[in-house]
Amino acid sequence: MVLRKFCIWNGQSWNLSQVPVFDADIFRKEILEECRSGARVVNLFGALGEEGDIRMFAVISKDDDAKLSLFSVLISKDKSVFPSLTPELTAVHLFEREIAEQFGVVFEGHPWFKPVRYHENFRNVPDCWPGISSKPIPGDYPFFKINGEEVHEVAVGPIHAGIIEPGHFRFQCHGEEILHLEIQLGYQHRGIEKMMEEVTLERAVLLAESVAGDTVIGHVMAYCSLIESLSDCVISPRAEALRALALELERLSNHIGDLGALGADIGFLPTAAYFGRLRGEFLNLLMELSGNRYGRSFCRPGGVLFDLDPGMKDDFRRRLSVAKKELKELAELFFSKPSVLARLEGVGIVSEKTARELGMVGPAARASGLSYDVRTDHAFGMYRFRHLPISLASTGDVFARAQIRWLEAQRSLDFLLELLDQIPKGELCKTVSPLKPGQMALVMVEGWRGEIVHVAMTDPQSKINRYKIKDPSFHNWDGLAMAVRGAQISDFPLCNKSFNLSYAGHDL
Amino acid sequence: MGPTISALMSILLHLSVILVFSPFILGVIGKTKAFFAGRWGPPVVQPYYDILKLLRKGSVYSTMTTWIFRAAPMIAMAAILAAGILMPFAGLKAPIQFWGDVVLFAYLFGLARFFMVLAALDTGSSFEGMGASREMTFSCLSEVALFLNFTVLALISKSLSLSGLIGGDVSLLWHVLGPALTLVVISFFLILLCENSRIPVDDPATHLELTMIHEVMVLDHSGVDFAYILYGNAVKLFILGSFLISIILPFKTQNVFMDTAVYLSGMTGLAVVIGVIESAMARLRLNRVPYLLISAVILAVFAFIITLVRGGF
Amino acid sequence: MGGVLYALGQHEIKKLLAYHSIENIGIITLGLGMGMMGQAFHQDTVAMIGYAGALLHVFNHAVFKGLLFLSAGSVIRATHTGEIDHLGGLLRTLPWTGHLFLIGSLSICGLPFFNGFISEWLVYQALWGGVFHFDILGIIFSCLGVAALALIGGLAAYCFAKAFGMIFLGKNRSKEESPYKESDYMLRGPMVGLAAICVWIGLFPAVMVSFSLKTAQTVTGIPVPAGLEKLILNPLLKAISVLFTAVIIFAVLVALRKFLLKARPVRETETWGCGYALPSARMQYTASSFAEPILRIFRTLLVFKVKTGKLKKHFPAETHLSSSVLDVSENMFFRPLLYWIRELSGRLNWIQSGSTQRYLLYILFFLLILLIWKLN
Repeated sequence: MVLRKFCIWNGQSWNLSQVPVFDADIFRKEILEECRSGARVVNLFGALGEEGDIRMFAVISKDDDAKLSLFSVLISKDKSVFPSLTPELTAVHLFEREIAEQFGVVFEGHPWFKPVRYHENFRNVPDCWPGISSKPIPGDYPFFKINGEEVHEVAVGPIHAGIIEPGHFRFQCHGEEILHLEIQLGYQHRGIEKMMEEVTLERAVLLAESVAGDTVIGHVMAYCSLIESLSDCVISPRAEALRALALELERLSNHIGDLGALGADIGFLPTAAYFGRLRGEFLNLLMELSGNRYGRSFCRPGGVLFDLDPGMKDDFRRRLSVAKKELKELAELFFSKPSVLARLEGVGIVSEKTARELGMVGPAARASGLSYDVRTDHAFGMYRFRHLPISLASTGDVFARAQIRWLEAQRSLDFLLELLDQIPKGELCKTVSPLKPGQMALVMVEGWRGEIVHVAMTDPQSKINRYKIKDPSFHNWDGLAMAVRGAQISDFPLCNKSFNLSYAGHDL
Repeated sequence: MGPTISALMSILLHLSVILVFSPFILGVIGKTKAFFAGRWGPPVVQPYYDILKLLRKGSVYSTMTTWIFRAAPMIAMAAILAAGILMPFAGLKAPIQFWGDVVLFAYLFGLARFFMVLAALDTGSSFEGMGASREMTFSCLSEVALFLNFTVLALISKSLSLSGLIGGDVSLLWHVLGPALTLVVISFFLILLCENSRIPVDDPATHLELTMIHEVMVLDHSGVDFAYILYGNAVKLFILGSFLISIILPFKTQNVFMDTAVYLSGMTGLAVVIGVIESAMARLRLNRVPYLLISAVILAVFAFIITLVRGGF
Repeated sequence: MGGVLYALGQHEIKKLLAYHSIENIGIITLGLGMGMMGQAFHQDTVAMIGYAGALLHVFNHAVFKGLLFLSAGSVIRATHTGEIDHLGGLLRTLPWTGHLFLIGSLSICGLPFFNGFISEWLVYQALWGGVFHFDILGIIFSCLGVAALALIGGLAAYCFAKAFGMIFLGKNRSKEESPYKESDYMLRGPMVGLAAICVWIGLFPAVMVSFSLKTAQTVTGIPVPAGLEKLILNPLLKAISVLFTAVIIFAVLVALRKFLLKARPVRETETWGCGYALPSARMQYTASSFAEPILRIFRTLLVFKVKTGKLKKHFPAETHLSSSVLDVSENMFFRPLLYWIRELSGRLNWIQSGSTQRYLLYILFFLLILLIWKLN
């Protein structure tokens, strides 16, 4: 049998019937072979088929040639069982658990078959974990346990010391050493994917802005591009440029904020305070651009709502230049203190091999030496015309993750300063025509945390009947768990901060 | 009857001086840190407000705890204050002093620590157990450094009471044994930072349970008990700081006011130095802290050797 | 000092206590050493303080170690286990044993108010006496002694915070409910007596100090220097006056707390567990974890081993952890010695054949040898 290959680009839409359907074993073989030759599972998700069966889609990326290959498999609605890929391919373990939870599909041979978000499945069939949504979280979650009475467990969360999101961390420790960490989330589950199918497009954009509170622009950009793709709308270059401006400001404010938070965690006050102030500067710019410090209600399908007038442009350029200078001074202070470096270097190491196995993305993956950035490898919007160099480190420790942030902040600033000089002209916001029926589209955006993937499918009535969101945190939480294995428990908060992952983005 | 009453009065005076001034040091440290962070910062009297606020609050107790949990803050504070009676301040003589009171001084701190650790274990929380374990580990080492420093000072001053160690002609000795005293000062300063959970040993400002030492031990204390703990810690810092300042600034004019002025500016200076250190460096990784304490021990040993050689023994 | 480190590494309560005796013997030896050095340097005062400290510590050790062993026995009797990591929260079910163990712990750590403080005080006095009165070598030895004693003190506190805290505080680690039965009066009686002695010596040391001075005089034959008893007792009495001040301060604090809490809400809830819905007894520190940091620091001196199944891959399978401190002297010296003795006796087994004739032959040989020896 000759395999019909189906390849797409980032931001493209296509007819649902174009996606090939493979047999189960070919589907598995295809994924495993592709991944063996260096490809990456970008997404693996389920959708309800026409006859009530489950169609599982796999999106595989070969980052070198900017292509995504897409294929699917059908799982019968009566005997919803599928042989798990996880034993051979660790990166998909959470995808499989997600599908199991959403559609009641049992993945046979999955070594870590546990709930993810504690909700009822979409099909009204018995859940894989009976009573999952009726018991208080974590229900009967089977935590991994190291036997022996000398081991103690440290249970941190869901309420944390600090204004952060809820999540539960279970450490198996002996003395100060972490033997194993298991992260159990799901407290923030709001059912965004399901709501996306039910609400009007006007409300859906607000939902997209709320996927993760610190990645407003990233997610809403993905959503808008997806809608535009599904309705064949091409937005103006000016709107693309302004979106890129907002996205980079978001990246800057978060990266700088993280550097400040790292300083606070190691008790290095000067940078903690000044990075914090500098972060405020970027948030202020974003507010002047959009009217909201986190960039809400800026992007809408068809373009952006607010323009950058010439006076503002000069002001932005001036303030960004000042910020660039201040950032340089601060970062040099931060990265030159021996007492700071002693805390950052060699702590929380994620090797390149581990990062690859876990399918990590974003700055955390680049810190471990995985050269992958959606802005370069699957360029979208403004980034198709202006390439950013990928910032890369190799040590995979907290220092590398901090360094990556500093490098990316610099490159974002350079990018913005250049962009501000040459903002193209064009219509600010176009009207979007109705969605095409029976279509499917995929958009990838490099948010500040890494690769954001939104996929949508429309039914014959042009209504969205499946919306799939993948936040970068989805993969990277595993990276954190591996980073602290064998580390000192007192270093955990620092490692955690160096990843700074989203609970809401994971829980959706 | 007369001497007893005057002794009691001097004890009372001593205790009130300690109680009145000790939170001030914390306030100065806070202000210094705020200055370096580019903030205005809380007022210098903020620690007083904090303690007063806590004193006016109700308490929450864990159902798992026993009387030890409730009594420990009071035992600790009583022990620390009792240790304070042995310590002379600038113009104030120690109300009670005797040959060998340094042992009692150190062991009273030991008693306070022992009960705080038990209170931490009493809650059955893994966080507090973690803090208790760290506290005991580091205190083992800092105690050795403390006793070695006492020995060096005893050799120098030919005395074995706190008042004798730092009350005598330390200024004269600086000429003869300056290097040794410098080492003692540095070593003692490291002990002070460790005992009072300051950076680089511990970060008193952190909110992260997993990295803390002292703070995590008192996670379940609240209200009055917590006020006692905070106050006790402030007193401890004040007492150890006084000891250090008395070595560094041993000037004695016969004028009580002058002495007090020198002493108070010395204490403020110490608080500023601590604040500057906290602003200028990150805290150590927890598994590096023992090395810091071992270096305190080694410094004390060097001071000992210098004293032996220079002192003509 | 090695003793207390080994004790820290023990998981079994009686083993812990037994290893801890080594440390106490170390303190006693320090006292005796100062006594001998004092004699050598003709410093009778130092010598007598040293001897008296050592003797008093011998007595004290007998008292509090006895108390600790008895209460440990009481724990084992009630719970049928001596593994510290199986226990927890016993203060509520075994209040007598628990409080008596606490008194024993405070005494053995040499904390003020209890007898251990008095004898450690004397040893410190002797050591510092050495610092003041000996020649340079003596000073160095005395100073080493001070450092050792300080470290021992710290480690002992560590060890008994672990023992008391893990056994009697927190939550039971193996059972949810622990319906243990407290020991009866017959068992409690002696413990109460010993605890009373601990407190009595701690607060009114005069009798025992002069007694040990007299004993030291009898044993060594050095006359007690005139006024020495006063020299020792005066500071001690002043120290105790400070302790009474502490008690008064404590009382004031208690009264203040009572007054302040009168009109305030006092609530009881679970220990703070980050709002997690299902806490378990595994979520508390274990004795082994408690001692891990210090054992790690001293791991070059000890053979501290943590055995754990390697966690491979991202989804590890079942695994187990256990740690142990190898007793070097036991493993490197006594075990081989006993082994050789057993081997040797095995080789000589043929001698003991069980035949009466052969035994008679042995007797004959023996008599012959005796005869020859006698004739020579």
